[in-house]
Amino acid sequence: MTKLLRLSNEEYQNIASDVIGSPVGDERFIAWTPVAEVYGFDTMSATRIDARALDEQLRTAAELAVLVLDSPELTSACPSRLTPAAPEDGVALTWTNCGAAVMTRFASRAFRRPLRPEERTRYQSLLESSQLEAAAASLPHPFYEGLTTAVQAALLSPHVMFKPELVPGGFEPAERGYRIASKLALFFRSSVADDELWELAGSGELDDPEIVEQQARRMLAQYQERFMTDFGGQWLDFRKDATGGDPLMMSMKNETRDVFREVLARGLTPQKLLQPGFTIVDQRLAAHYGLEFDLDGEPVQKVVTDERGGLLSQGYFLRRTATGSEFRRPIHRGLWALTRLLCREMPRLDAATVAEISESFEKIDRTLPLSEQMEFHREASGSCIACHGQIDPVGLALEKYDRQGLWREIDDNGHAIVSDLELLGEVVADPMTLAAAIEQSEEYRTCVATKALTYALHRGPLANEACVARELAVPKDGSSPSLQELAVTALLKSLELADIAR
Amino acid sequence: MKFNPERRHILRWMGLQLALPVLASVVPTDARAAPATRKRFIAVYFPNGSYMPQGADGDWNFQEALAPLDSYRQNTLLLRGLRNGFGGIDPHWQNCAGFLSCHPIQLGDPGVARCAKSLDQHIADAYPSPLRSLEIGGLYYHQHQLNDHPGYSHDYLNRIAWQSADQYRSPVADPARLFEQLFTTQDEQAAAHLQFIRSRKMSILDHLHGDATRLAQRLPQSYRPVLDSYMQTVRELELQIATPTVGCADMPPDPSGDFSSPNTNYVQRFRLMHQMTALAMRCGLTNVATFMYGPSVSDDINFAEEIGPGVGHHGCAHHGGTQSNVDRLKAITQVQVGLLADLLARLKELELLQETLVLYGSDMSDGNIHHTKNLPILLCGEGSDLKFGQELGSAGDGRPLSDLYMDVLSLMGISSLSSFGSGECLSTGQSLRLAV
Repeated sequence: MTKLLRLSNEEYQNIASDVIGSPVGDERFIAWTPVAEVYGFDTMSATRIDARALDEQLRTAAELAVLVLDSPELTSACPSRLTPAAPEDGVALTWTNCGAAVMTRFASRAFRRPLRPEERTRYQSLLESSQLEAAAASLPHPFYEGLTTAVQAALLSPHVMFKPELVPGGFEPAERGYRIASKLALFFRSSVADDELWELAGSGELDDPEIVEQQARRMLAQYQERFMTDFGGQWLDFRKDATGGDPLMMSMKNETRDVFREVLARGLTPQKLLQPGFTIVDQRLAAHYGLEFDLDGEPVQKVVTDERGGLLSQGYFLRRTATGSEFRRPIHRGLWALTRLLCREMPRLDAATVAEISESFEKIDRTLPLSEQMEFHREASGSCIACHGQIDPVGLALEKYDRQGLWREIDDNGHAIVSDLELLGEVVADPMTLAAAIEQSEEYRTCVATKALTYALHRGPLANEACVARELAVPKDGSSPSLQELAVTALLKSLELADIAR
Repeated sequence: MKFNPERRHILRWMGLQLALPVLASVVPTDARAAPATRKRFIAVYFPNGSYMPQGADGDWNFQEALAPLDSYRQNTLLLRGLRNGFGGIDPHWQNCAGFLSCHPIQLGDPGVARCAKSLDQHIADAYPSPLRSLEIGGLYYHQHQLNDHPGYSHDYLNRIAWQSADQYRSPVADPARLFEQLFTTQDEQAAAHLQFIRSRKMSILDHLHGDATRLAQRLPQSYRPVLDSYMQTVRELELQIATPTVGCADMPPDPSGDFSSPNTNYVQRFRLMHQMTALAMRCGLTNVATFMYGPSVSDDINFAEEIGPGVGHHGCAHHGGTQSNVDRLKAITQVQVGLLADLLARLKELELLQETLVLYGSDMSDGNIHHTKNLPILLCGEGSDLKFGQELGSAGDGRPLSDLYMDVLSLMGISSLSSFGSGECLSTGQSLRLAV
């Protein structure tokens, strides 16, 4: 069963921006406690919040409330503009002629379902009691202060900060349309429903699976950038900035993002992520890779090439995995590819294996070529082979790329780089054969679907759902779904599995 | 955040007489401490160990790593041979989260970081105060770049204070924020407005509590614990805000300065927060604090201002025998030991050293190979009750760190625990005999 999950900080920022109607900047969230990643995504954490973090949220809510009350869209019902300054003579603002409309519109959107009658009543009494206190403190505009209090309380409500729509009882049966709408909005937009989806939720039209599917496709097209960043960016690491401000790394990060965007937007299959036949680079990165670049052209260009652009030949992956000792590079590269692209889980190390690893540090002859040093890992007698039997074929095939992600045939010590290890039943001697083996495997396609399904379900697939991802990725009709298609079908499937769709 | 020094006063203090009886009444009697000489506790964590090859004593002595502490030699008890590690779990995650809890992280449930209540929080239970405990550090939230350890929450790398198995307490990084939390600014003209803002906060928290209660009623029973802990958090914050504010000390430190990056004013940042923590203790605002001089790994902290540009902390801890890295690691260790000396100076200045126990240590001895035996651990304070100025134990002892924690609890008059930690790190029941 799904836990009562927290909204990620990104989701909160998006929701605030979308409800207020103008972008709310990162600077307001700097001091927020990060939400831990689960299955590689920060949208499914159930981590508890502590007092300091809540205090920080109160501080932000105070800032956001000002923006809410400044939003023409949210306050259009009120007879005069809302400001903390004393109102000019005119119609006095009250709950009835202003507060109710603001709270209903604003809190409903943030709660992802219409405000319930008893919630309205509670906000009214919160507003009015706070208004009285403000008057007692001789503040110039007590109504504004009272409404601010109610808005701040709604901004931090557990109905906003948690995801009750994912758990039984969180939404009422009559709110089913809103539940579907919210699932779609969280998945494609990392936020709340837009106007069109909200209307459909209210009209009951989301009871029709065809309309849900249409909306899923519309949302993906309309909010592709958010989906790309929050799904793709977390899956493949280009959302968070790990460039350390290094200009080349920034160019590399952009390459990873831009190739992903191209594959998604053009309706290409996820296999193309491994061998796209092109890459997208700026001049700096083109020079680094030795690719042709039209100096009179656009600052970022799509270049046709078979040598670059694939996930395993992108500098952002190759360079980030190359920090630390010689030894670590193939291990990091191997683990990344296995866990991100093949969804393999490495067995957990037991104490004896950890001890074996420590001892091995002293036994290995560091003058040997790296591939021979690592052979030690795969001695059948030890327990190391369980992991290294998978890690080393990937890591050693990728040794053709140096720390900078540049091609080489000979390592730093003058040894020729050769590997004849097998992965997925193929000899993977170099990055090309490795990428081809992964690309052609059902395991990779299934893994992509598993990532999308996990992101949609807000949990890892259960044991009895293992075949679901495979069915999405490798349909019985022999077709090869595009990344777009997989995103849509994974979301629709998740509604079914969570028993939300009819 | 800008502060105007002329307008700044320390507040709070007198309201405590109102707040404390309430606190005392919610603490179960068996958790409260018996009279003890030590009634305050500070734990300081530093990541990545020291230069202690293969877990040998290495540089961890007063001639080398501890040289900056030379003038506090008589206030320092050097403990050797303690261990705190669980086989099979990456020590960066495990040993940071487990530094004060001696409990394995629980990997089975990736949705929630779980460890166990930490030593500082047991002490906070027994010594209630308006601010349950202060957590300081969090210069940045370290994330494993490749995140290739499934189930290992990054929270484990960034938190040492665990209020309960599934609730950590996150550290504050910004001196200005800490200042605000401790020493609210006072502005005569805006007093009524400030009072209104405080009252608004209370109303909002009360409303959130009501929302959570109502939500809990709608959901199946199994969701209660999540919402209960949320409500506890709300209550804790209410209690903090409710504490009325009246001045208690002279001019507090000026918290302004650029602290936007973990590498900007590293030393200055901690000096300020040492000073504020000591003042907060002097004022009775809190009795317990934990410092993280960096998160586990800490590779984003490079100490460029202190020792010149170069690789990050983690990078030189994995020195691989390279002399330049070894030298850099030694220099970093000295910067941090120097911070400890500053903390002790602040406590001494306010005559707190006799009543306070300061624990200083790392979750690794040799960071190069992630060795978790013979940890570098110090206990600092003032008084003739403990063997300050001495060295106890030896590298090969292999006593669990939890044995020390049982002794610490006992020194603080807390006898409600029959053991500390679990599994390989369970206390043995044998005292380390720290008393004179």
